[in-house]
Amino acid sequence: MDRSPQQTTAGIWSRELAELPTLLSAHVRISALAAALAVLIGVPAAVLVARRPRWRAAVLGVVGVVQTIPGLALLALMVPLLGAFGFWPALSALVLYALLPIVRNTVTGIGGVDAAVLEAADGMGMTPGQRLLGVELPLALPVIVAGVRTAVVWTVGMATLGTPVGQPSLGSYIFGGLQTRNTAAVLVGCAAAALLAIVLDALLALLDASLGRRRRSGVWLSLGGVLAVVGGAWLAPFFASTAAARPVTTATSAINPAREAAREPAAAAESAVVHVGAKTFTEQYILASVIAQRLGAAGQRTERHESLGSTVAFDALRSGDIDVYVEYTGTIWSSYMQRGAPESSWRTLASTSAWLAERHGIRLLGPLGFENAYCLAMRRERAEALGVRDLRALASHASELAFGTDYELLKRPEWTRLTETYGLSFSRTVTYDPSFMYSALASGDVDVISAFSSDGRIDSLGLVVLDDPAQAFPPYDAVLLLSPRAAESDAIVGALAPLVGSIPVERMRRANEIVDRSEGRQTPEQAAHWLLENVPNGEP
Amino acid sequence: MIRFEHVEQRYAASRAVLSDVSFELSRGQLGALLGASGSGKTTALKLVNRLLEPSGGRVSVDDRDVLASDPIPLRRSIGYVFQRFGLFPHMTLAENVAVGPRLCGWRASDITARTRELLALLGLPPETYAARYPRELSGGQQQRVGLARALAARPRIMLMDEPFGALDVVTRAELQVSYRRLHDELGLTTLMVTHDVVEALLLADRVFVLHDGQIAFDGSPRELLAAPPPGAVTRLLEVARRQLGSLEALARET
Repeated sequence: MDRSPQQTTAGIWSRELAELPTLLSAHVRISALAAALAVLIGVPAAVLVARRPRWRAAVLGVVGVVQTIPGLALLALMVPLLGAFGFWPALSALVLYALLPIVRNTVTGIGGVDAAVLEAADGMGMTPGQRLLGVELPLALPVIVAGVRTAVVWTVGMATLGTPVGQPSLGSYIFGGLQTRNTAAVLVGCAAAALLAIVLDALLALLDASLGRRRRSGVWLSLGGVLAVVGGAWLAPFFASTAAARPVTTATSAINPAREAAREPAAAAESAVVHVGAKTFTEQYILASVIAQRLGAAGQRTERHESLGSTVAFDALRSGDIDVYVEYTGTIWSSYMQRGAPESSWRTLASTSAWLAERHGIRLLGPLGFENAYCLAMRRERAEALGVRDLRALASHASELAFGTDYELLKRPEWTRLTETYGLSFSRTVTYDPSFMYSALASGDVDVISAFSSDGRIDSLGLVVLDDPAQAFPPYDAVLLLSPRAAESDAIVGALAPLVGSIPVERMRRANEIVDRSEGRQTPEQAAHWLLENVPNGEP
Repeated sequence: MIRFEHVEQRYAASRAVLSDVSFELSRGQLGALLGASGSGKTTALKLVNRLLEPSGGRVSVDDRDVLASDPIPLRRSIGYVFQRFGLFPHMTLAENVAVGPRLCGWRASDITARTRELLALLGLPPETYAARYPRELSGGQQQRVGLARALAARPRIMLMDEPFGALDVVTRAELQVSYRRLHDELGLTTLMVTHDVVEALLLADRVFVLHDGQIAFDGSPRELLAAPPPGAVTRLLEVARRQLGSLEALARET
């Protein structure tokens, strides 16, 4: 901690930009494939239904309904539907989303062809196919291209939402940056996605105009431009590594928490890559780095999948798409096992461990030594002014207090139990992204928040955690989960076993704090390195 | 040769558009199908190249029932001229004229030569007009292209649906004369739909008056003038005569 590198402005930006080629490439790859597939599916489908009113209404209805599903929800829905995570659910959600403008414009374009022209085509003896290719599609083309333009801009924007389902994209900057309060990363992600969308839109606008004026040079210029942008961004990592072969090795050691996959030194003879997962908050980034550093030191190659939604990470572990990540016993207990009343810490540990092994073949390697439990927290002076120390006392003031929480707690069974146990009813409840929740409490926008007991900001912001005398919240011990495949590898188990019991809550809080604080912030990699100083180098 | 025998045409359960139509147009003649709007003229025309199929009776072209012919080659062998021109707006004039020959699978060099020949024949010098688009032309010029396009694949038979109806009087007269000349020079058989009595009288060899879904008159223009069928045609002729009389009277006064 004492030898933390200077956080110069140039340093921050160059660190963020070092990740750009990889993420831009992944982003362009999925956006381009999704847009191309949407055209390949949407245009023929629209052609088939364009002159059949009943089918047309049905198809437009279906693609219209898909559009009303919020983007993130559609992506998240694809994960259980396809039973996979990462590329395929992201791709299928993006394709579904892009279909509407393409289908609608194709149908409109074909329907807008002058009846006299169609009569002429039939009267001259064109077959239906010749009429379609020679007359209807060419005349509808400018309208179709306008639809493709809309679809491309949407797709580039929405591809950022691929990150929470495990598809790397420019959204990794945005989601990771928001979680770790890294404004530079958020800005880089937004600017890169916006720039990409603007450039592609401008090129397609040129295509649109050139088709309208039948200027062949413009058509080729714009198509060439689109190909150059997509191809260039696709191959960006290759260019970046050849252009700067020397500095890259040092740049990758200053790693961004939210990038796609860190390939640790591949000294291992073992060819299988160990996939390390992380959910969407600082602690998870740090612990994923802890795991990766341990495995790397043991000669394993690792690849990281970060910013995964909560259930996405578990599903990915079950399906073997990832091999290891850190979960919390309370989450397993209430969300996956759907159990009711909580039990003591060790009983919960025992029953979750048994359930995971029997039901899913997942191995719970052991607790890391700290809890990251839900708790309710207030600013110290506010709590003292009201004389509130625990949740019972809070309940009598709750009707005058505003409550801030993350998206997840309100959907969890323990929230129902908590409100019923204590009769909690707040005047107002607001949901925030976790990193904004603390700011909202500090600024007085809300009076009470749902905090996490290992969060460094509890100490740094001077918050008090309210006691839970009825034990309505279940225990949330952080535990290492291994996929069935990883559980069988002695090398993996051997590298990770020393982590069990090695991280007390004070150290985890401190590690979270040095990544989350606004001054002199460090990377999750540096925090992980610091945490590992206390871990015995357990060679089996 | 085009022959209709007791042709009936009705759409679903509605009243018959054509109830019992019989007539015959011999080779080399120009026939006018004359009638008011809604009399079924266009319907009758579309039966000839199978854009529509009769509900009853028989339509034959050169003694062959059209229902026995494949509609695609049938349509390609018959020229069709549309009232609203129906030029393809995304194609140049040359490309528009070339559509028929291309559909018939001509060689590229033949198509180019034929396209230039027809544009020239219809008074549109190819050097100036070949690369233009339909929207750059006046209505009269567009219909000249429409005629060139219909004639391009060397059809023996022409169907024309009010071909001069959308043009101003002067242009219409010019184009009528040009077409009559082409018809004779090329030895075509033409069936033309019109609601203009004067056009039918001045242009056609034979006039068929359609009224209430039946042929109310079948004969030469001279016979039509001598004994017009009662109804719309008689009234139209009276109007035309009265206008002519007034014009002559006006001319004498000046």
